[in-house]
Amino acid sequence: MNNTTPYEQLIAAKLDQVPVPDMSDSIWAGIEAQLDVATDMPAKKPSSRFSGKGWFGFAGVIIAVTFLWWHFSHKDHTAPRETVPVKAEPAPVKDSNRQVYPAKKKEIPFSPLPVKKDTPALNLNEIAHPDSAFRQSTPVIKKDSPALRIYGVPYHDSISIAPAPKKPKGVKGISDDDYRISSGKDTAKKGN
Amino acid sequence: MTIALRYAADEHEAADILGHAFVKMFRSIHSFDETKGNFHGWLKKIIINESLDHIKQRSRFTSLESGAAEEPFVNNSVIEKTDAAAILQLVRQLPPATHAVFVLYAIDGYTHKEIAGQLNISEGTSKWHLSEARKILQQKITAIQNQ
Repeated sequence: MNNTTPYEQLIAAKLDQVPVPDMSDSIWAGIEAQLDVATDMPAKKPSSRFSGKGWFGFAGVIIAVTFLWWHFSHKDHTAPRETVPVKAEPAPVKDSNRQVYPAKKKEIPFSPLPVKKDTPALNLNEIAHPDSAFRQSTPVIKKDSPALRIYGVPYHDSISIAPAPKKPKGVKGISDDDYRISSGKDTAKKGN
Repeated sequence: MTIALRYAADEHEAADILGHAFVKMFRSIHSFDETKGNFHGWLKKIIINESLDHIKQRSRFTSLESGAAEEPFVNNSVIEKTDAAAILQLVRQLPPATHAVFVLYAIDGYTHKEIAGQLNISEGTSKWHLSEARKILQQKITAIQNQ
C-alpha cells in the first residue's frame, strides 16, 4: 500500500506545475532520426549480404576448399606407397637327386651306454646310426606351404620321420597261385 | 515531458528519454490493447520505463535494508511557498537511485513491491531509499525555511 505524506502530495502537485521547456522540435527531430535508422536497417541488410567484397571472400573460400579437396584426393592416388622391404623369394627348387641340408647339426660324439648285466643284450650293429632320425631323408616342404612363408627358404623338417614300411597284407604262406581258380571245382558244382 | 522531467537529471536527458519513449511507442503501437487501459496510461508507463532504464545506466542499485523509518517533520507551508522549479531541483539533488524510488513512490503512486519489481531490488531496499529521500528532503526544506 502506498502511504504518501502530505508534503509528498504537495511536492507531487508542485512537480506537475513545472514548466515544460520548448524542445518539441529537437525531440521530434530525434524521433524521426531514430525511426529512419530503424526503417533503413532492414533494407540495407540484404543488399550488403551478397555485395562488394563479400562475394570475393565467398569465392575465395570456395576456391580454397576445392583446391584442398583436389590436392588431397590427388595425393592419395599418386603418392608413392610406402615401400615395404620384400623378402627375396627363393628360386623354385628344381627336381634333383641332390639332398639339401639346410643346417649343420652338431655332431655329438657317440659313446655307447654301459650295458647293465641284468638287462637283455642289445645288438648295436642293427642300428645304422644312433641318430637315425637325422639321417632319414625328409620331404622338402612345398613352395606354397606356411613354413616357407615364415622361413623364406626351403626347410627340411629334420624331426619328421618317414612313414614306416607297410605291413604285408594277407596270411603268411599263401601265394598268388593259391588264388587261381580251377575249372574242375566249378564244373563239379554245375553238375549238382 | 513532465513525467520525463521528474526522473531526468536535466532537460536534455528528459528530451532524450521522451524521444526514445516515442520511438518505442511507435514500434509497439500494434501491441496496445484498449481493453487493458487508456492510451495515456500506456504512454506514461513507456516513459517511466524508459526513464528507469536511463537511471539504471548511470547508477547502481545496491541492496540496502531499512530499519525502523521514522517520519520526518516537514513544514508544508514552506513547500507551498517554494517555486515548482526549485522543488524539482531539490528532488534532482537526491542520489539517482533514491531519486527514482522517491518519484516512483511519492509522485507516481507505485508501491514498494512494484518499485522492487521495476528496479530489480528488494522491497526493503526500496523502503530504505524512500526513507533516505525523505530525510534529505527534510534537511533541504528546513534549510530553505531557515533562510
